[in-house]
Amino acid sequence: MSLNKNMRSTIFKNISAALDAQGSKAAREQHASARINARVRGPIPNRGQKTGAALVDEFISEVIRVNGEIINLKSVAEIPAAVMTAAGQNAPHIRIAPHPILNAANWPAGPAEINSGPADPDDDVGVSIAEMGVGETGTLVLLSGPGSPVTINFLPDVHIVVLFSEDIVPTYEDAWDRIRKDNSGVSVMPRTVNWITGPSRTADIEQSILLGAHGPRRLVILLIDGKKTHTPD
Amino acid sequence: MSHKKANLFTYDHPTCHNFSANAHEALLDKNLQTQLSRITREGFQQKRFDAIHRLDEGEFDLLRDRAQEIKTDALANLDVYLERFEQNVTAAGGKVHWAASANDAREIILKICQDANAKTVTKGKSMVSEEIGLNQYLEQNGMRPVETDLGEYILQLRDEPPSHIIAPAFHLAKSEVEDVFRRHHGDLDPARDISQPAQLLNEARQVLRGDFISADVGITGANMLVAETGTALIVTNEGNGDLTQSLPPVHIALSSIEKIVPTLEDASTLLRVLARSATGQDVTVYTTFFTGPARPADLDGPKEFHLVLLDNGRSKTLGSEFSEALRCIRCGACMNHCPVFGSVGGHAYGWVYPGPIGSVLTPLMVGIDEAHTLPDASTLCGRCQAVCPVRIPLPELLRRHRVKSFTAGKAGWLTRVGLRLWSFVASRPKLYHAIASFKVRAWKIISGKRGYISYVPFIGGWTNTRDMPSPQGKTFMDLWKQKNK
Repeated sequence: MSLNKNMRSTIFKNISAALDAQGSKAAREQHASARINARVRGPIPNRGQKTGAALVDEFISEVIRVNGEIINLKSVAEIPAAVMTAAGQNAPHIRIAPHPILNAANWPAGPAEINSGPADPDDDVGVSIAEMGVGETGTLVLLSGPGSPVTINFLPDVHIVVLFSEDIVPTYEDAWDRIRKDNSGVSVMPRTVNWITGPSRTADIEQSILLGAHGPRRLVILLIDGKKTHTPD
Repeated sequence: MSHKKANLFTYDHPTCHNFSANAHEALLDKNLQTQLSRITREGFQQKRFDAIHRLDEGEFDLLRDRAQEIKTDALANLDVYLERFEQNVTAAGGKVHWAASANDAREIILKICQDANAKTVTKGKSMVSEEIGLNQYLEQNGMRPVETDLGEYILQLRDEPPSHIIAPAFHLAKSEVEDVFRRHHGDLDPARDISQPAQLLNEARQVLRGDFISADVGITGANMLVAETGTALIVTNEGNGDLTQSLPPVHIALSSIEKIVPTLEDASTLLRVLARSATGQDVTVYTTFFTGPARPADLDGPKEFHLVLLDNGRSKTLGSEFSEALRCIRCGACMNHCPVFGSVGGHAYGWVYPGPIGSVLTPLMVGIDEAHTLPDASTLCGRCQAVCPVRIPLPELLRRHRVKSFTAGKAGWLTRVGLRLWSFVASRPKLYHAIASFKVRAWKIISGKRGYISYVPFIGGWTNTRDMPSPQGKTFMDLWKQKNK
């Protein structure tokens, strides 16, 4: 679209006019490349620097502070029963992410209908697997992909998320490092990286805080002791 | 049927020139005053304070220093970061559109919607979309834009602009929300109870579900643009922004060129100050980083991704004496702490961006002819600068606008004559001293034993509600001379 090209060049001409007085564009390019490659961290608050058991404790207390729920599990075998308990009696439609761990789980035959795939509007409960948790603020990190459809995180009334304790990292920057490493050092992002901190809320009416706006009314974390293991299909 | 007040602005009809009258009306609006009082008492001010004190001593200031440095660096290298961003969005399968003006942005977005044969367009909250009057334009061209943020949805039904950049409907009482829901949700049971906020929220949630599912295009804003990866991000609490960008087949993100940051680390630092400064949360419920359209193996997400980048004067501001305003991350802390905003609310400012940052941006966007009143709507007390997470020197920028509008002849005759008189006297020390000592003696005599004066000519607006304390009868210069004798 030539219109787009013209506007682009007008905008960039104005920007150069402002910046060229301070130095050349080549110098700016060099600076920008160096800065992006260095990926220097800003100041990390002390609460984002915990390790070991203190890190897991911090994650749990931060989740509870923002009205999330935590259920501790010993192994993946306990997932189906915990999901059924958390979902309660009034959840006829349960949606699970097509992730190897959930696919391999031993789901009960009823009474709830359990489907795998992206969410649809009838789903009462969605179950997904978190890539990581961040201790600093009790934040879950979910990456979209074939095993993690993003609609499950937002459409159902109740969102149940499986998280392994060894996937809890101290701070956001640690999460970025791991996402980059999983992509062989190159910053290739999935379509979405979702940070989720508690159930949805709003304060748009008279500044009073209400839980359960358009997203899930409840966020339940199934915290499994140990390391994420991919059960073979 | 529109129930909005007749004097409310639209994006192309600002009412900044009427600031005085707008403010007067706002001061007499009892309901507005009730809502405004919540900001200080249990609202934004207290929540920000608590959030900062959940960090260790001094940490928030270190984060602010770094946040300022990040935005300064991003602006000082704006073109190369934007180019890098564009390359990475394109590599991820998205398309970047450049919009020089508000009208350009509207046309680009309409074209994308038309190409998608769109009827219903869901929208996440976006101040840039308010800046370009997107809803009106889409409606005029046969689309049905649906605001999905609760506050924005209420305002869309009332046909009203936002009064705050992060809490758009904070000026309304719950009874007013009930009112507009009853008028517009006519097919629901008239006997239902929706007197409480939770019931109102539930109703909006039910009504909007259908639109989320059936929308052909979803439009969101973007709080930041990350050059390193071509990623944009939104921060929300309701989840509407995510439903808007994951259910329809086309996602358009509308943002502006100064929102760029170099890396994901830099974005993380800014996020640490953004929510704390805005709502007093450590982090919002949802922070969503999105890069391009759905990948081939993804089971959901949009097939098409467009990022529309608006300039609308920002590239000109970059080289001007107002460039520091471009650091703004739109947290709203300056308005939450402004005594003027706290007294008159957002609509009185007469355009999209209210409060101290609005008084700096609006003259740059709608022109000084319309908006020269706004830089005067400040006592320059400096609270805005004190709370700004990127340390924008707002009082100094307001003062620069005042100089410009005075030079351009926008000040009234009283101000002009007064200032000329004052500068004549102030540059003649003997005359100044003579007048000053006459004045303090005269005021002392007039006030007599009461010790105050209840009316002073020319500042009646001030003495109507306060008494002027009387001077002690001698000037500082007199006392100084006495002491040195």
